[in-house]
Amino acid sequence: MKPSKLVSGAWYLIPFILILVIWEAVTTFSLLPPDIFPPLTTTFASFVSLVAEGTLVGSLIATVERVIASLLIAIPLGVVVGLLMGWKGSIFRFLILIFTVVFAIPKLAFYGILLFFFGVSDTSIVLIASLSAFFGVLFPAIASARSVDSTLMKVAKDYDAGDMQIFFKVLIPNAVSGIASGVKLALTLAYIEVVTAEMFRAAPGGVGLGWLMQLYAIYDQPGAVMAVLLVLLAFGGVVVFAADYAEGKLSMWRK
Amino acid sequence: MAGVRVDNVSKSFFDFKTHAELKIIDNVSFDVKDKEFVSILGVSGCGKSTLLYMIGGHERPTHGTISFSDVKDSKAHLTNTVFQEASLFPWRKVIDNVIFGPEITGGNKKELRTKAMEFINLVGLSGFESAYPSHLSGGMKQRVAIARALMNNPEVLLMDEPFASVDAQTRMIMQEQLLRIHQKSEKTTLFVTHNIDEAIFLADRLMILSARPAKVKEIIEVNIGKPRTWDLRSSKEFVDIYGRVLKSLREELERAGLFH
Ligand SMILES: Nc1ncnc2c1ncn2[C@@H]1O[C@H](COP(=O)(O)OP(=O)(O)OP(=O)(O)O)[C@@H](O)[C@H]1O
Ligand SMILES: [Mg+2]
Repeated sequence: MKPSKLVSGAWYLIPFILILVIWEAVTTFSLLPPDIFPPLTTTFASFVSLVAEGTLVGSLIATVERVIASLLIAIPLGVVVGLLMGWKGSIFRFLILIFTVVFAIPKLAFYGILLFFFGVSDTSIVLIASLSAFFGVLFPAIASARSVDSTLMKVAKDYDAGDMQIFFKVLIPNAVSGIASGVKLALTLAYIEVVTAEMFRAAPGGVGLGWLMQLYAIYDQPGAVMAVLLVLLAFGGVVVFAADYAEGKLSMWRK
Repeated sequence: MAGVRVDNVSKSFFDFKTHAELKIIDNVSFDVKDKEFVSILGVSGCGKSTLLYMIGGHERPTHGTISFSDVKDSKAHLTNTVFQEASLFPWRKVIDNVIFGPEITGGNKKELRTKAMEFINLVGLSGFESAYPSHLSGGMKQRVAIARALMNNPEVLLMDEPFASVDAQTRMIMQEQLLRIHQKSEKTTLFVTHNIDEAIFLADRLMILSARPAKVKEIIEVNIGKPRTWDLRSSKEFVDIYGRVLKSLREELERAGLFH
């Protein structure tokens, strides 16, 4: 890496370093009481002991698994339904009002209903997070199907492609890079919804980052709350980078 | 291979600016014989692409009918079009674009790729089979589109200004290749172009359309035997036809008010 690249890359890191510096300053000069805002050292100690106990790792794994499960439902469903809606006007008209209304309200409103059916369970959390993530891909998928080059559609028909073939050989590959931003959004939405649902009621098995955070807040352990928050942030970062990488791999045919 | 009969065909579009029907094609009739190569000329915007789209089944005539005769292989494709604008699937490599047609009808991809190489060589693109369209020039893309149409082996080949974005030297090579391909495959071909020289060089007959709404203005037989070579351009027959076509097109430009 060239030095100039290193320098320009450093700009990405400076805000984080600033936050740490301010954090340390706030606690060193006791600007906020330490039992409300814990010093870095306390946070780090909590982090180490939480990792040693195994709670943090167990919860991280539980949350990650729920996010992945939601995405496995939400992305294929959102892509297929969205492409169909963008392609066929009748399907669009049939579904759009329902989706618009559901999209507009907090998804957690449905969580209560899910709890009646499935109780506090992975199923409830995964379903509510899938619902949220679904909208992340749905709207980009609709837009992607609508923006297919009309000449390419003509070509497909010129070679007698049927609806199924148009769907799989034109709409799907055309969507791959067009909905990458939607997939990224879905990842974030699923993550947000899983953590929120975990916080909303006890998490199944007593594991989950959201739940853990809630627990330490109730038991008044700000160091532990901060430690969990840092893990949440770190995982969020990993998610975004993974999504960017996947997008690059999937659209090799662009320049 | 097959003949095409265009019978009293008219086409109108609804014009949203004037809220009126805009007539593009006005009562056009002509026949293309089996194995024949017909060039279609006409001023820009007169309706050449629209006519080709109707023959290819992409647009429906407002009036009249289009039919095919002498269809030899009822299972083969009736028509394939080389479109005027860029038409390659950007996510498919050159070779996978070329096999698109037979892949749709259910061929074995591996075997098709072997066969596709013939057509890629034919249009002078060997070495580019694994390139994505975004790495090709406009002219190269158009040659891939030609290979794709030929690979599908339709009864009638429809070409809409296929060489418009090809440079002059490559264009000359492509013209001679197309002439040879036509002689060998005897594929009925309708070829739209603005290039009078190319139209005559390739065609058995020329059809000149009038300015919008398009009518058949003139049909000219090109009584020059085949095989043809580049130097026939200086022959008397060629020059005579060239003069006639030029005069005819200038009349249409004047009629459309494009000369002052
Ligand atoms: N779908 C459509 N709706 C409305 N008008 C159309 C439509 N398609 C074509 N036209 C109009 O029909 C006329 C003929 O278009 P067409 O593309 O067939 O011309 P062309 O002879 O191929 O022109 P060029 O030589 O520039 O390619 C144009 O005025 C165009 O604006
Ligand atoms: Mg045209």
